[in-house]
Amino acid sequence: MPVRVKQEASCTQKTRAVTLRTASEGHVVGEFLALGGPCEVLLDIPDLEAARYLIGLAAGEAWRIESRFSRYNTSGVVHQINNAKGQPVTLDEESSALLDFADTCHRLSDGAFDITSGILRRAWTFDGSDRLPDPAAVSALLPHVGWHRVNWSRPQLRLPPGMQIDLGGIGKEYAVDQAARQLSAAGVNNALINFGGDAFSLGPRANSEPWVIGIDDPNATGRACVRSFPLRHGGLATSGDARRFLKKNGKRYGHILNPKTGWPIQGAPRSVSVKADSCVDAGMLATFAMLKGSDAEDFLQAEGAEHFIIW
Amino acid sequence: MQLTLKKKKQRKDEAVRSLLSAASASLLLAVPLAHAEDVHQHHAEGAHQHHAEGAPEQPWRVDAGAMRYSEKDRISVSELNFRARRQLSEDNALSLRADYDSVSGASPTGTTKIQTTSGASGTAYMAHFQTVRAAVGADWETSLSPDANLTLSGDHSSSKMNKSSGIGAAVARDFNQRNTTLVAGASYSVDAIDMEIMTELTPSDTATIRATSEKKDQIDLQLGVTQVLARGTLLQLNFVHSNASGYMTNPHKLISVVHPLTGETLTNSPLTEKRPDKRDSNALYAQVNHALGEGVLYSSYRYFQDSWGIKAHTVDFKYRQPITEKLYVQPHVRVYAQGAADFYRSMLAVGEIPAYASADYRLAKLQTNSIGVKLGYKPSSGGELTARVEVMRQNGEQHPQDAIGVQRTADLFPELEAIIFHIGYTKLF
Repeated sequence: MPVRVKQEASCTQKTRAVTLRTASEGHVVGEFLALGGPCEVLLDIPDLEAARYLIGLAAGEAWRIESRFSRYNTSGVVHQINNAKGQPVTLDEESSALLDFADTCHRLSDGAFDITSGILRRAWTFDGSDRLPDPAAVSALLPHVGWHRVNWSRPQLRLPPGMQIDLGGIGKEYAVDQAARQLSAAGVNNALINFGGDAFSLGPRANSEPWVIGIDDPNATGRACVRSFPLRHGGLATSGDARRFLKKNGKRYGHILNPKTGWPIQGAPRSVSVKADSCVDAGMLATFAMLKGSDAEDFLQAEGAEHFIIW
Repeated sequence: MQLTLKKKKQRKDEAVRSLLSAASASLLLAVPLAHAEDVHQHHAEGAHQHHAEGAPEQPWRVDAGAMRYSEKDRISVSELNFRARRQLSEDNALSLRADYDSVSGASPTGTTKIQTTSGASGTAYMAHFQTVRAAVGADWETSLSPDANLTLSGDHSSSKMNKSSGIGAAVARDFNQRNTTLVAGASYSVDAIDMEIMTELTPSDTATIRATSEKKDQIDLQLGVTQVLARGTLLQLNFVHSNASGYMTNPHKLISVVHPLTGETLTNSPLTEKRPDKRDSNALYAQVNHALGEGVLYSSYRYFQDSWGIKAHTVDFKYRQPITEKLYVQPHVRVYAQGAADFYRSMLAVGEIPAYASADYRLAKLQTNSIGVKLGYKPSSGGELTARVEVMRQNGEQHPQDAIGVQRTADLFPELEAIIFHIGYTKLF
């Protein structure tokens, strides 16, 4: 039973509702919109009311994290940080933990993973066309990119004026793991959480079969699976998106940008899927691999992470 | 498209992976799990008011309410409540409260209506009165550690006859990733009773009036535990021991004095009452909040016992059912049953002067049944508007064992009916 992984459909969610259905295999599927796309929770329990509550727990966690850390939410923490105009902002535990984690990831990736690189999107529009940005426009943004320019001394963050942070590269995977924690605390041990393609299994199905996750074909998003991943326990995340690239003179420019140059990482795979203990781990390993460009494969092999790469 | 598929290989140099794993583990555990109730509420409300962590976006929470309680043919109470809570910082919050109530009407004095075999006489059965009371209070909550909170509180209330001041402190400590919370608290209050007090257990027309002010003080000790059980079930247990000493007699209450055989009242001057000046009580309270579908069932039981011999049981059920995202309905059923105080006497035979006696119906064996419904509306702009109506019926022993002679024909515990209206408004700023 491959569960289609939905990759970053461009949805804006206005309604906070969970729709429930019972799949033909007998498990309950709860679907809702959060974190920029469709989310689903698959539960192998017969009691629909209990399932409704549990899926509500997971959805509540997704919506909570979205509302706290989406840069679009004007009352959220990220918006507050991005609009502090050079003033220090004192952060709560959860935001501090996320920034500490982003800091660690910046270090572990030798500066390639950078939550301040989001403003490069002002120059880049990955719409599948051949419209590359003006190199001058990219260069002009570079002084405003770089985690090393940020003054982070827990719990105080001071962002130089003109800089912004974006937790989008962590948020969805973080939400998956936190939702898993909620369900685990509620006694669930056979469920699959899949928030827009990033997934975590709390344990195999009631019949001991693993959940099976289908990886989208980047050339035919939503229409074809190129591979299915059995997932008994742990996280699975995919980095990469077929439709977000530019192509000029036969050269492909993927959407993963190098924060040091402002230009796409050379030779990066189209898509990297990684299995790890948590969804956050899986997501970061997939992102790190992407940032390694053509060395993605070697990196994941050296790390001993089960993975699947589409070039 | 070139596909590569590699199986996991164990290698020594999994440097990034293990460092990442350590970092993500501390990330995931940075935030304690929300209480099941919170989560559920969050589910129902969307993300509006989750968590008071960090620099809160809406530091003020204000609740205002108005209540009208009317007993049929007896007293009515009008009450205004105001609560404001301000999150001062991540670790500090201040709550302020103010209440004003006005009570008026007639309350049974405790004397029986039947005077002789020939029928009722004109002796006052009901005492009419009117009183207003104003109360203010404040709590200061501060965190002692990431897992522990201290709350200090102070209260003062004042009416024409009574001034009461109290202080309290409580420590709450979370365990087990906030799935368990223990609370221990103590409070002390002192009442200054400033009214005309008559000599106890003396015919009311000859009792001398003392205008001296009396005192009552009370110590409450509280121990509680809140435990998140699986699947959105929250259990709360609370034990309160109270120790009160001082003047607890009600100078407005009287006891009929009757002929030991016929039950006819022999004097038009009933006795004043007298209660012990010490009262130790214990109350055990258990509440379970359980998520049922989209709703939440709140069930609670309370057992109360005191040194006056009163034993009481309260069973209470509320069920909150969302109708739409903004609207919910909450039916409520409550049953309260108490046994009589040891010194409760519906009447005294002439010449009988016990150590303590009271004919106050509130110390008699009685049962109160309440049924009500609350509607809550949560506008998109935030906040909550509630309206509640409740009907209460109280019954006791119409013909108690200790009734004498003709008094057995009287209804010594007329049924009491009351209706309660309440409206409330909560807003975050």
